[in-house]
Amino acid sequence: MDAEISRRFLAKLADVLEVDAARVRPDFPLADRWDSVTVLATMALIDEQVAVTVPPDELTRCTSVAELLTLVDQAMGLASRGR
Amino acid sequence: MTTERSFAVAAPDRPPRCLGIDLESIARFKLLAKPGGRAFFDRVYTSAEQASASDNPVLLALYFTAKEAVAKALGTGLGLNSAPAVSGKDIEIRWTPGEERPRVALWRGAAARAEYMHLSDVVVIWEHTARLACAIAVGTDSPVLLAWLVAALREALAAAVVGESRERGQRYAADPPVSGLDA
Repeated sequence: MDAEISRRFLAKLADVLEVDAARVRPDFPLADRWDSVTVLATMALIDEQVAVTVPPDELTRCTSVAELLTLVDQAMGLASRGR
Repeated sequence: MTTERSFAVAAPDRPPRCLGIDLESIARFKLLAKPGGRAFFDRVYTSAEQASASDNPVLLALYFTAKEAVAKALGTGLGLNSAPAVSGKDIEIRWTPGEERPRVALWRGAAARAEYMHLSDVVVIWEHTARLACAIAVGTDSPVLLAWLVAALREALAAAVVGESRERGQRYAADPPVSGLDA
């Protein structure tokens, strides 16, 4: 994920998480934030921003924003290899 | 959510077969109503629900809480994987302005689950404040139990509003539970 997409993704993720965008840094904890609306909204956000579908159980295993970004990068890599 | 007050009402005439509850922040549905949230809507709401709610965040939040409450009453919750036991679109919430309660139609996984539980009907009651939407789904049409649940739901939402106002250092905000979506 390039820097511009990452910046835009994190700004929209802050909206989903209902927190100030400045707080959503790589070390921002996610472990206690995965309720059903957050999971569905984050899946939709990833789908919209980078056109990949991340399985919800993998999403809920992410305990920080850094892990989430890694997961998205991995999903994008798998998607590009599958093309 | 807890409340210190109790209710002096008659015991339910028939015990519920099952029960589920959900509570959501309406603000999140304002965000999700933006164009980027379309994928969420398409994943969760039927086309009839999308047309009925027409991006009204209160209705979208109430429809979602109703779906989640029904899914919990069915013992599964809303499935989020690619082939869930019960998905958002398996539970259709039908409501017309003026109706006291929404009606529920079950399809596919939800219908199969209800049949497995020998459940002929699921009743949903819902309430909302300016900030919160809450729904209870119950496998009974007992008038006494439903009246009790509506009272409990209103009381719990009022308590939540008071707690929220205290946390923010405000006086009790004018945010009472609202019935009938007429606010």
